[in-house]
Amino acid sequence: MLFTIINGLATGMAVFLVAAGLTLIFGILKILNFAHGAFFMIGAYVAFMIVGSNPPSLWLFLLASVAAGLVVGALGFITDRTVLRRLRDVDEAYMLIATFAVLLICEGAVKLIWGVNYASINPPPLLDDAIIVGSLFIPTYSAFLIGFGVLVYVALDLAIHRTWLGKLLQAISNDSWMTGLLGVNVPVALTLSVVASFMLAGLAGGILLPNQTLSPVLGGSYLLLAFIAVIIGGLGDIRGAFIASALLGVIESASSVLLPNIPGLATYVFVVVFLLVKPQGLFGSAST
Amino acid sequence: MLKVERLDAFYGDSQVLHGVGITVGDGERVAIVGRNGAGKSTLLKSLMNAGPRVSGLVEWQGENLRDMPSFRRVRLGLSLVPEDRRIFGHVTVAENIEMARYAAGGNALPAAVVIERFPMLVPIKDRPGGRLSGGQQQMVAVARAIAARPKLMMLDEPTEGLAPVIVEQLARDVKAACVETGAALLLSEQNLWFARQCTDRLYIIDSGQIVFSGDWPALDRAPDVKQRYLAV
Repeated sequence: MLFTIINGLATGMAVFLVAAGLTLIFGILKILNFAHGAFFMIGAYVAFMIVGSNPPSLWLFLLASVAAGLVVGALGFITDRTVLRRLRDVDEAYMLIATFAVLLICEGAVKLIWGVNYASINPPPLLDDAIIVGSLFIPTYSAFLIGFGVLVYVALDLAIHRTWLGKLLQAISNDSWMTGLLGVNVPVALTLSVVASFMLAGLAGGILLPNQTLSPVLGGSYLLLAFIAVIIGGLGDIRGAFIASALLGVIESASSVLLPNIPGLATYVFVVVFLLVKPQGLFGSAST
Repeated sequence: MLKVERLDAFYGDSQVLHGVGITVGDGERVAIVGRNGAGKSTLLKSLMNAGPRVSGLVEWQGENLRDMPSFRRVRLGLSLVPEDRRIFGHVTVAENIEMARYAAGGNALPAAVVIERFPMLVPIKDRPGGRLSGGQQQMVAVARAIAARPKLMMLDEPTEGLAPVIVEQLARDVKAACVETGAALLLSEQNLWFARQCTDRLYIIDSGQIVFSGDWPALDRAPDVKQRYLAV
Protein backbone atom coordinates (compact mmCIF):
# COMPACT_ATOMS: atom_id res chain seq x y z
CA MET A 1 0.00 0.00 0.00
CA LEU A 2 2.75 2.43 1.01
CA PHE A 3 4.58 1.43 -2.14
CA THR A 4 1.51 2.31 -4.18
CA ILE A 5 1.34 5.72 -2.57
CA ILE A 6 5.01 6.46 -3.12
CA ASN A 7 4.76 5.29 -6.69
CA GLY A 8 1.70 7.49 -7.09
CA LEU A 9 3.46 10.49 -5.61
CA ALA A 10 6.32 10.02 -8.09
CA THR A 11 3.81 9.98 -10.95
CA GLY A 12 2.09 12.96 -9.38
CA MET A 13 5.29 14.96 -9.22
CA ALA A 14 5.99 14.10 -12.85
CA VAL A 15 2.55 15.48 -13.68
CA PHE A 16 3.23 18.56 -11.56
CA LEU A 17 6.47 19.34 -13.38
CA VAL A 18 4.44 19.60 -16.59
CA ALA A 19 1.46 21.28 -14.91
CA ALA A 20 3.61 23.97 -13.24
CA GLY A 21 4.42 25.72 -16.51
CA LEU A 22 0.86 25.32 -17.75
CA THR A 23 -0.70 26.89 -14.70
CA LEU A 24 1.91 29.67 -14.63
CA ILE A 25 1.19 30.79 -18.18
CA PHE A 26 -2.53 30.50 -17.58
CA GLY A 27 -2.42 32.38 -14.29
CA ILE A 28 -0.60 35.36 -15.69
CA LEU A 29 -1.52 35.49 -19.38
CA LYS A 30 -4.77 33.50 -19.40
CA ILE A 31 -3.36 31.33 -22.17
CA LEU A 32 -4.44 27.69 -22.32
CA ASN A 33 -1.29 26.46 -24.00
CA PHE A 34 -2.01 23.33 -26.02
CA ALA A 35 1.58 23.35 -27.27
CA HIS A 36 2.98 22.92 -23.75
CA GLY A 37 3.27 19.14 -24.15
CA ALA A 38 5.08 19.55 -27.46
CA PHE A 39 7.69 21.80 -25.85
CA PHE A 40 8.00 19.33 -22.99
CA MET A 41 8.78 16.72 -25.66
CA ILE A 42 11.34 18.98 -27.35
CA GLY A 43 12.99 19.42 -23.95
CA ALA A 44 13.17 15.63 -23.63
CA TYR A 45 14.78 15.31 -27.07
CA VAL A 46 17.30 18.04 -26.33
CA ALA A 47 18.30 16.31 -23.10
CA PHE A 48 18.43 12.99 -24.95
CA MET A 49 20.85 14.47 -27.51
CA ILE A 50 23.19 15.36 -24.64
CA VAL A 51 22.99 12.24 -22.47
CA GLY A 52 21.98 9.45 -24.88
CA SER A 53 20.21 6.27 -23.80
CA ASN A 54 22.51 5.65 -20.84
CA PRO A 55 23.26 8.91 -19.03
CA PRO A 56 26.92 8.67 -17.93
CA SER A 57 26.49 10.61 -14.69
CA LEU A 58 23.87 12.26 -12.51
CA TRP A 59 25.47 15.67 -13.00
CA LEU A 60 25.44 15.45 -16.77
CA PHE A 61 21.81 14.39 -16.56
CA LEU A 62 20.91 17.41 -14.43
CA LEU A 63 22.97 19.68 -16.66
CA ALA A 64 21.21 18.29 -19.73
CA SER A 65 17.84 19.01 -18.10
CA VAL A 66 18.85 22.59 -17.39
CA ALA A 67 20.12 22.92 -20.95
CA ALA A 68 16.78 21.59 -22.19
CA GLY A 69 15.06 24.23 -20.05
CA LEU A 70 17.21 26.97 -21.56
CA VAL A 71 16.69 25.80 -25.15
CA VAL A 72 12.94 25.51 -24.71
CA GLY A 73 12.90 28.86 -22.87
CA ALA A 74 14.53 30.40 -25.95
CA LEU A 75 11.89 28.73 -28.14
CA GLY A 76 9.33 30.27 -25.79
CA PHE A 77 10.77 33.70 -26.49
CA ILE A 78 10.51 33.07 -30.24
CA THR A 79 6.95 31.70 -29.92
CA ASP A 80 5.96 34.73 -27.86
CA ARG A 81 7.37 37.19 -30.40
CA THR A 82 5.96 35.42 -33.45
CA VAL A 83 2.61 34.16 -32.17
CA LEU A 84 1.45 34.80 -28.60
CA ARG A 85 2.23 38.51 -28.37
CA ARG A 86 0.26 39.26 -31.52
CA LEU A 87 -2.85 37.61 -30.11
CA ARG A 88 -2.95 39.26 -26.67
CA ASP A 89 -5.76 41.63 -27.47
CA VAL A 90 -8.02 39.37 -29.51
CA ASP A 91 -10.57 36.76 -28.55
CA GLU A 92 -9.31 33.75 -26.55
CA ALA A 93 -10.49 31.33 -29.22
CA TYR A 94 -7.75 32.60 -31.56
CA MET A 95 -5.17 31.84 -28.90
CA LEU A 96 -6.47 28.28 -28.53
CA ILE A 97 -6.28 27.70 -32.27
CA ALA A 98 -2.85 29.32 -32.46
CA THR A 99 -1.35 27.19 -29.68
CA PHE A 100 -2.87 24.12 -31.33
CA ALA A 101 -1.16 25.13 -34.58
CA VAL A 102 2.12 25.56 -32.71
CA LEU A 103 1.62 22.05 -31.29
CA LEU A 104 1.27 20.61 -34.80
CA ILE A 105 4.32 22.53 -36.04
CA CYS A 106 6.40 21.28 -33.10
CA GLU A 107 5.36 17.67 -33.63
CA GLY A 108 6.23 17.97 -37.31
CA ALA A 109 9.58 19.54 -36.48
CA VAL A 110 10.39 16.77 -33.99
CA LYS A 111 9.69 14.12 -36.62
CA LEU A 112 11.86 15.95 -39.14
CA ILE A 113 14.78 16.46 -36.77
CA TRP A 114 14.78 13.31 -34.66
CA GLY A 115 12.76 10.89 -36.78
CA VAL A 116 9.88 8.68 -35.72
CA ASN A 117 11.93 5.95 -34.04
CA TYR A 118 11.45 5.05 -30.43
CA ALA A 119 14.26 5.40 -27.92
CA SER A 120 14.27 4.36 -24.31
CA ILE A 121 16.45 5.95 -21.68
CA ASN A 122 17.74 4.53 -18.42
CA PRO A 123 18.06 6.54 -15.24
CA PRO A 124 21.55 7.97 -14.66
CA PRO A 125 23.94 6.38 -12.11
CA LEU A 126 22.82 6.91 -8.49
CA LEU A 127 19.20 7.12 -9.63
CA ASP A 128 19.09 3.61 -11.10
CA ASP A 129 19.13 2.00 -7.69
CA ALA A 130 16.55 1.48 -5.01
CA ILE A 131 16.20 2.38 -1.38
CA ILE A 132 15.01 -0.50 0.75
CA VAL A 133 13.37 0.37 4.04
CA GLY A 134 12.21 -2.79 5.79
CA SER A 135 9.94 -4.45 3.27
CA LEU A 136 9.55 -1.23 1.30
CA PHE A 137 11.24 -0.94 -2.06
CA ILE A 138 11.59 2.60 -3.39
CA PRO A 139 13.36 3.22 -6.71
CA THR A 140 15.81 6.09 -6.16
CA TYR A 141 14.51 7.72 -9.32
CA SER A 142 11.02 7.87 -7.77
CA ALA A 143 12.44 9.39 -4.61
CA PHE A 144 14.37 11.87 -6.75
CA LEU A 145 11.21 12.83 -8.66
CA ILE A 146 9.28 13.43 -5.46
CA GLY A 147 12.10 15.55 -4.05
CA PHE A 148 12.53 17.50 -7.27
CA GLY A 149 8.79 18.13 -7.60
CA VAL A 150 8.61 19.49 -4.06
CA LEU A 151 11.70 21.64 -4.73
CA VAL A 152 10.18 23.15 -7.88
CA TYR A 153 6.91 23.79 -6.06
CA VAL A 154 8.57 25.50 -3.09
CA ALA A 155 10.75 27.61 -5.38
CA LEU A 156 7.78 28.71 -7.51
CA ASP A 157 5.57 29.39 -4.52
CA LEU A 158 8.22 31.53 -2.85
CA ALA A 159 8.96 33.36 -6.09
CA ILE A 160 5.31 34.21 -6.64
CA HIS A 161 4.21 35.00 -3.10
CA ARG A 162 7.34 36.34 -1.45
CA THR A 163 9.28 38.27 -4.08
CA TRP A 164 8.39 41.62 -5.59
CA LEU A 165 8.69 40.24 -9.08
CA GLY A 166 6.07 37.65 -8.12
CA LYS A 167 3.81 40.26 -6.57
CA LEU A 168 4.07 42.41 -9.68
CA LEU A 169 3.23 39.39 -11.83
CA GLN A 170 0.19 38.73 -9.66
CA ALA A 171 -0.75 42.38 -10.01
CA ILE A 172 -0.49 42.02 -13.80
CA SER A 173 -2.63 38.91 -13.64
CA ASN A 174 -5.29 40.77 -11.62
CA ASP A 175 -5.22 44.09 -13.44
CA SER A 176 -2.62 44.54 -16.15
CA TRP A 177 -3.94 47.97 -17.13
CA MET A 178 -3.44 49.44 -13.65
CA THR A 179 -0.10 47.71 -13.24
CA GLY A 180 1.05 49.44 -16.43
CA LEU A 181 -0.18 52.75 -15.02
CA LEU A 182 2.09 52.22 -12.01
CA GLY A 183 5.06 52.06 -14.35
CA VAL A 184 5.53 48.33 -14.90
CA ASN A 185 6.72 47.37 -18.35
CA VAL A 186 3.85 44.93 -18.77
CA PRO A 187 4.81 43.60 -22.26
CA VAL A 188 8.29 42.62 -21.04
CA ALA A 189 6.88 41.03 -17.88
CA LEU A 190 4.46 38.97 -19.97
CA THR A 191 7.24 37.80 -22.27
CA LEU A 192 9.28 36.83 -19.20
CA SER A 193 6.36 34.78 -17.90
CA VAL A 194 6.06 32.96 -21.22
CA VAL A 195 9.78 32.21 -21.20
CA ALA A 196 9.59 30.97 -17.59
CA SER A 197 6.66 28.70 -18.42
CA PHE A 198 8.46 27.25 -21.43
CA MET A 199 11.65 26.78 -19.40
CA LEU A 200 9.65 24.73 -16.92
CA ALA A 201 8.36 22.59 -19.81
CA GLY A 202 11.89 22.01 -21.10
CA LEU A 203 13.24 21.26 -17.64
CA ALA A 204 10.42 18.78 -17.06
CA GLY A 205 11.26 17.13 -20.39
CA GLY A 206 14.83 16.56 -19.26
CA ILE A 207 14.05 15.47 -15.71
CA LEU A 208 11.33 13.03 -16.79
CA LEU A 209 13.44 11.54 -19.57
CA PRO A 210 14.45 8.32 -17.76
CA ASN A 211 11.97 5.43 -17.84
CA GLN A 212 10.28 7.09 -20.83
CA THR A 213 9.81 5.85 -24.30
CA LEU A 214 10.95 8.82 -26.29
CA SER A 215 8.92 9.23 -29.46
CA PRO A 216 7.05 12.00 -31.27
CA VAL A 217 3.87 11.14 -29.35
CA LEU A 218 5.44 11.81 -25.95
CA GLY A 219 3.98 15.32 -25.98
CA GLY A 220 0.48 14.09 -25.25
CA SER A 221 1.37 11.59 -22.53
CA TYR A 222 1.56 13.85 -19.48
CA LEU A 223 -0.32 16.75 -20.96
CA LEU A 224 -3.79 15.37 -20.33
CA LEU A 225 -3.11 14.62 -16.67
CA ALA A 226 -1.35 17.96 -16.32
CA PHE A 227 -4.38 19.79 -17.74
CA ILE A 228 -6.60 17.91 -15.31
CA ALA A 229 -4.30 18.87 -12.43
CA VAL A 230 -4.39 22.52 -13.51
CA ILE A 231 -8.19 22.49 -13.67
CA ILE A 232 -8.69 20.70 -10.36
CA GLY A 233 -6.08 22.88 -8.68
CA GLY A 234 -7.92 26.01 -9.79
CA LEU A 235 -6.69 27.58 -13.02
CA GLY A 236 -3.51 29.52 -12.38
CA ASP A 237 -3.03 28.32 -8.80
CA ILE A 238 0.44 26.78 -8.27
CA ARG A 239 -0.35 25.32 -4.87
CA GLY A 240 -3.59 23.85 -6.18
CA ALA A 241 -1.81 22.31 -9.16
CA PHE A 242 0.78 20.78 -6.82
CA ILE A 243 -1.74 19.14 -4.53
CA ALA A 244 -4.00 18.10 -7.42
CA SER A 245 -1.02 16.49 -9.19
CA ALA A 246 -0.09 14.48 -6.11
CA LEU A 247 -3.70 13.43 -5.68
CA LEU A 248 -4.03 12.38 -9.32
CA GLY A 249 -0.80 10.41 -9.17
CA VAL A 250 -1.92 8.48 -6.12
CA ILE A 251 -5.36 7.80 -7.63
CA GLU A 252 -3.77 6.56 -10.86
CA SER A 253 -1.38 4.37 -8.94
CA ALA A 254 -4.04 2.98 -6.60
CA SER A 255 -6.47 2.28 -9.41
CA SER A 256 -3.82 0.39 -11.38
CA VAL A 257 -3.40 -1.89 -8.35
CA LEU A 258 -7.04 -2.19 -7.33
CA LEU A 259 -8.67 -2.08 -10.77
CA PRO A 260 -5.95 -3.31 -13.13
CA ASN A 261 -8.41 -4.12 -15.93
CA ILE A 262 -9.77 -0.62 -16.37
CA PRO A 263 -6.79 1.75 -16.28
CA GLY A 264 -7.54 5.44 -15.98
CA LEU A 265 -11.22 5.07 -15.17
CA ALA A 266 -10.85 6.04 -11.51
CA THR A 267 -9.09 9.25 -12.51
CA TYR A 268 -11.90 10.39 -14.76
CA VAL A 269 -14.58 9.44 -12.26
CA PHE A 270 -12.65 11.45 -9.67
CA VAL A 271 -12.39 14.47 -11.98
CA VAL A 272 -16.08 14.43 -12.83
CA VAL A 273 -17.15 14.09 -9.21
CA PHE A 274 -14.67 16.72 -8.07
CA LEU A 275 -15.81 19.28 -10.62
CA LEU A 276 -19.44 18.67 -9.69
CA VAL A 277 -18.65 19.30 -6.03
CA LYS A 278 -16.03 22.06 -6.35
CA PRO A 279 -16.19 23.63 -9.81
CA GLN A 280 -13.90 26.47 -8.67
CA GLY A 281 -10.98 24.14 -7.99
CA LEU A 282 -9.28 23.10 -4.77
CA PHE A 283 -8.96 26.51 -3.12
CA GLY A 284 -11.93 28.11 -4.76
CA SER A 285 -10.23 31.03 -6.48
CA ALA A 286 -8.58 31.43 -9.84
CA SER A 287 -5.71 33.66 -8.83
CA THR A 288 -2.04 32.81 -8.71
CA MET B 1 5.33 71.66 -18.36
CA LEU B 2 2.38 69.85 -19.96
CA LYS B 3 1.16 71.20 -23.27
CA VAL B 4 -1.74 69.61 -25.12
CA GLU B 5 -2.84 70.89 -28.55
CA ARG B 6 -5.46 69.79 -31.10
CA LEU B 7 -6.01 66.55 -29.22
CA ASP B 8 -8.55 64.17 -30.75
CA ALA B 9 -9.41 60.89 -29.03
CA PHE B 10 -11.45 57.98 -30.28
CA TYR B 11 -13.03 54.84 -28.89
CA GLY B 12 -13.41 52.63 -31.94
CA ASP B 13 -15.05 54.79 -34.59
CA SER B 14 -16.61 57.31 -32.24
CA GLN B 15 -14.71 60.49 -31.55
CA VAL B 16 -14.81 61.58 -27.91
CA LEU B 17 -12.41 64.54 -27.83
CA HIS B 18 -12.35 67.26 -30.49
CA GLY B 19 -9.25 69.44 -30.72
CA VAL B 20 -8.64 69.79 -26.99
CA GLY B 21 -5.91 72.16 -25.88
CA ILE B 22 -4.76 72.65 -22.27
CA THR B 23 -1.59 73.48 -20.39
CA VAL B 24 -0.42 72.74 -16.85
CA GLY B 25 2.59 74.61 -15.49
CA ASP B 26 5.24 73.45 -13.02
CA GLY B 27 3.59 72.68 -9.68
CA GLU B 28 0.33 74.19 -10.89
CA ARG B 29 -3.04 72.73 -9.83
CA VAL B 30 -5.70 72.72 -12.51
CA ALA B 31 -9.21 71.28 -12.66
CA ILE B 32 -11.11 69.86 -15.61
CA VAL B 33 -14.80 70.09 -14.84
CA GLY B 34 -17.80 69.06 -16.86
CA ARG B 35 -20.82 66.85 -16.88
CA ASN B 36 -20.90 63.08 -17.12
CA GLY B 37 -19.73 61.93 -20.52
CA ALA B 38 -18.16 65.28 -21.40
CA GLY B 39 -14.78 63.63 -21.96
CA LYS B 40 -12.95 64.23 -18.67
CA SER B 41 -11.83 60.64 -18.11
CA THR B 42 -11.02 60.19 -21.78
CA LEU B 43 -8.79 63.25 -21.66
CA LEU B 44 -6.80 61.96 -18.67
CA LYS B 45 -6.50 58.47 -20.16
CA SER B 46 -5.38 60.00 -23.46
CA LEU B 47 -2.59 61.84 -21.68
CA MET B 48 -1.37 58.48 -20.31
CA ASN B 49 -1.97 56.62 -23.60
CA ALA B 50 -4.04 54.20 -21.53
CA GLY B 51 -7.08 53.36 -23.61
CA PRO B 52 -8.38 55.66 -26.34
CA ARG B 53 -6.76 56.09 -29.73
CA VAL B 54 -5.24 59.56 -29.81
CA SER B 55 -3.99 62.06 -32.34
CA GLY B 56 -2.62 65.54 -31.75
CA LEU B 57 0.16 66.92 -29.59
CA VAL B 58 0.91 65.85 -26.03
CA GLU B 59 4.11 67.57 -25.00
CA TRP B 60 5.66 66.90 -21.60
CA GLN B 61 8.70 68.89 -20.46
CA GLY B 62 9.40 69.81 -24.06
CA GLU B 63 9.14 66.26 -25.39
CA ASN B 64 6.42 65.14 -27.79
CA LEU B 65 5.18 61.89 -26.25
CA ARG B 66 3.57 60.55 -29.47
CA ASP B 67 2.71 56.87 -28.91
CA MET B 68 4.94 56.30 -25.86
CA PRO B 69 3.41 53.49 -23.72
CA SER B 70 1.93 54.42 -20.36
CA PHE B 71 4.58 52.75 -18.21
CA ARG B 72 7.25 54.99 -19.80
CA ARG B 73 5.12 58.07 -19.13
CA VAL B 74 4.97 57.05 -15.48
CA ARG B 75 8.75 57.01 -15.39
CA LEU B 76 8.80 60.53 -16.83
CA GLY B 77 6.75 61.74 -13.86
CA LEU B 78 3.14 61.45 -15.05
CA SER B 79 0.72 59.54 -12.87
CA LEU B 80 -2.97 58.73 -13.20
CA VAL B 81 -5.37 57.62 -10.47
CA PRO B 82 -8.30 56.14 -12.42
CA GLU B 83 -11.85 56.82 -11.31
CA ASP B 84 -12.44 53.21 -10.28
CA ARG B 85 -9.25 53.38 -8.13
CA ARG B 86 -8.16 49.83 -8.90
CA ILE B 87 -6.57 48.91 -5.61
CA PHE B 88 -4.92 45.48 -5.72
CA GLY B 89 -6.95 43.13 -3.54
CA HIS B 90 -4.24 40.46 -3.16
CA VAL B 91 -1.83 42.62 -1.14
CA THR B 92 -2.14 44.95 1.86
CA VAL B 93 -2.57 48.72 1.82
CA ALA B 94 1.12 49.22 2.56
CA GLU B 95 2.08 46.76 -0.17
CA ASN B 96 -0.21 48.52 -2.64
CA ILE B 97 1.76 51.68 -2.01
CA GLU B 98 5.08 49.84 -2.02
CA MET B 99 4.05 48.37 -5.38
CA ALA B 100 4.41 51.81 -6.95
CA ARG B 101 8.01 51.85 -5.81
CA TYR B 102 8.82 48.46 -7.30
CA ALA B 103 6.94 49.32 -10.45
CA ALA B 104 8.39 52.73 -11.14
CA GLY B 105 11.74 52.16 -9.47
CA GLY B 106 14.11 55.09 -9.16
CA ASN B 107 13.48 57.61 -6.45
CA ALA B 108 10.02 56.55 -5.26
CA LEU B 109 9.11 57.08 -1.62
CA PRO B 110 8.95 54.16 0.86
CA ALA B 111 5.40 53.20 1.82
CA ALA B 112 5.95 54.11 5.49
CA VAL B 113 6.82 57.70 4.59
CA VAL B 114 3.79 58.06 2.33
CA ILE B 115 1.41 56.55 4.86
CA GLU B 116 2.43 59.15 7.45
CA ARG B 117 1.18 61.86 5.10
CA PHE B 118 -2.31 60.33 5.01
CA PRO B 119 -3.57 60.01 8.60
CA MET B 120 -6.51 57.88 7.49
CA LEU B 121 -4.18 55.15 6.24
CA VAL B 122 -2.15 54.64 9.41
CA PRO B 123 -4.63 52.33 11.21
CA ILE B 124 -5.41 50.28 8.07
CA LYS B 125 -1.97 49.86 6.56
CA ASP B 126 -1.90 46.07 7.04
CA ARG B 127 -5.44 45.46 5.81
CA PRO B 128 -5.85 43.59 2.50
CA GLY B 129 -6.66 45.88 -0.42
CA GLY B 130 -9.82 43.90 -1.09
CA ARG B 131 -11.39 44.93 2.22
CA LEU B 132 -11.53 48.72 2.06
CA SER B 133 -14.35 51.25 1.92
CA GLY B 134 -14.65 53.59 -1.06
CA GLY B 135 -13.02 56.47 0.80
CA GLN B 136 -10.17 54.29 2.02
CA GLN B 137 -9.63 52.98 -1.51
CA GLN B 138 -9.41 56.52 -2.83
CA MET B 139 -6.87 57.49 -0.15
CA VAL B 140 -4.76 54.45 -0.97
CA ALA B 141 -4.98 55.24 -4.68
CA VAL B 142 -3.79 58.81 -4.12
CA ALA B 143 -1.05 57.65 -1.75
CA ARG B 144 0.06 55.05 -4.28
CA ALA B 145 0.31 57.75 -6.93
CA ILE B 146 2.24 60.10 -4.61
CA ALA B 147 4.68 57.30 -3.73
CA ALA B 148 6.07 57.39 -7.26
CA ARG B 149 6.87 61.11 -6.75
CA PRO B 150 5.03 62.24 -9.86
CA LYS B 151 5.72 65.69 -11.32
CA LEU B 152 2.09 65.73 -12.45
CA MET B 153 -0.59 63.74 -10.67
CA MET B 154 -3.88 63.22 -12.47
CA LEU B 155 -6.94 62.35 -10.38
CA ASP B 156 -10.04 61.16 -12.15
CA GLU B 157 -13.20 62.04 -10.20
CA PRO B 158 -11.75 61.16 -6.79
CA THR B 159 -14.86 62.23 -4.86
CA GLU B 160 -17.28 60.03 -6.77
CA GLY B 161 -19.41 58.07 -4.30
CA LEU B 162 -17.65 59.41 -1.18
CA ALA B 163 -19.31 60.76 1.98
CA PRO B 164 -19.01 64.55 2.48
CA VAL B 165 -16.75 64.22 5.52
CA ILE B 166 -14.36 62.03 3.53
CA VAL B 167 -14.42 64.52 0.66
CA GLU B 168 -13.24 67.27 3.04
CA GLN B 169 -10.46 65.07 4.39
CA LEU B 170 -9.43 64.12 0.85
CA ALA B 171 -9.29 67.77 -0.24
CA ARG B 172 -6.92 68.57 2.62
CA ASP B 173 -4.72 65.54 2.01
CA VAL B 174 -4.54 65.95 -1.78
CA LYS B 175 -3.62 69.61 -1.55
CA ALA B 176 -1.07 69.01 1.21
CA ALA B 177 0.52 66.13 -0.68
CA CYS B 178 0.86 68.26 -3.82
CA VAL B 179 2.30 71.22 -1.94
CA GLU B 180 4.77 69.09 0.02
CA THR B 181 6.06 67.14 -2.97
CA GLY B 182 5.83 70.00 -5.45
CA ALA B 183 3.68 67.89 -7.74
CA ALA B 184 1.36 69.57 -10.21
CA LEU B 185 -2.25 68.39 -10.20
CA LEU B 186 -4.69 67.81 -13.03
CA LEU B 187 -8.04 67.02 -11.48
CA SER B 188 -11.14 65.81 -13.24
CA GLU B 189 -14.19 66.54 -11.11
CA GLN B 190 -17.91 67.18 -11.00
CA ASN B 191 -17.78 68.31 -7.37
CA LEU B 192 -17.08 72.04 -7.77
CA TRP B 193 -16.44 72.59 -4.07
CA PHE B 194 -13.74 69.93 -4.03
CA ALA B 195 -12.21 71.12 -7.28
CA ARG B 196 -12.04 74.68 -6.00
CA GLN B 197 -10.41 73.56 -2.75
CA CYS B 198 -7.69 71.71 -4.61
CA THR B 199 -6.95 73.89 -7.63
CA ASP B 200 -6.30 77.49 -8.71
CA ARG B 201 -7.86 77.48 -12.15
CA LEU B 202 -10.06 75.33 -14.32
CA TYR B 203 -11.13 74.24 -17.76
CA ILE B 204 -14.71 73.34 -18.55
CA ILE B 205 -15.13 70.52 -21.01
CA ASP B 206 -18.38 69.83 -22.83
CA SER B 207 -19.00 67.29 -25.59
CA GLY B 208 -15.28 66.72 -25.94
CA GLN B 209 -14.37 70.39 -26.37
CA ILE B 210 -12.88 72.95 -24.00
CA VAL B 211 -15.53 75.65 -23.61
CA PHE B 212 -14.11 77.74 -20.76
CA SER B 213 -10.68 78.46 -19.32
CA GLY B 214 -9.88 80.71 -16.40
CA ASP B 215 -9.48 80.97 -12.64
CA TRP B 216 -12.28 80.34 -10.14
CA PRO B 217 -13.21 84.04 -9.66
CA ALA B 218 -13.55 84.27 -13.44
CA LEU B 219 -16.09 81.45 -13.30
CA ASP B 220 -18.00 83.40 -10.62
CA ARG B 221 -18.17 86.35 -13.01
CA ALA B 222 -19.66 84.18 -15.74
CA PRO B 223 -22.84 82.71 -14.26
CA ASP B 224 -24.18 81.97 -17.75
CA VAL B 225 -21.24 79.62 -18.42
CA LYS B 226 -21.85 77.84 -15.16
CA GLN B 227 -25.55 77.56 -15.90
CA ARG B 228 -25.01 76.29 -19.42
CA TYR B 229 -22.27 73.72 -18.92
CA LEU B 230 -22.35 72.68 -15.29
CA ALA B 231 -25.92 72.88 -14.02
CA VAL B 232 -27.58 69.53 -13.75
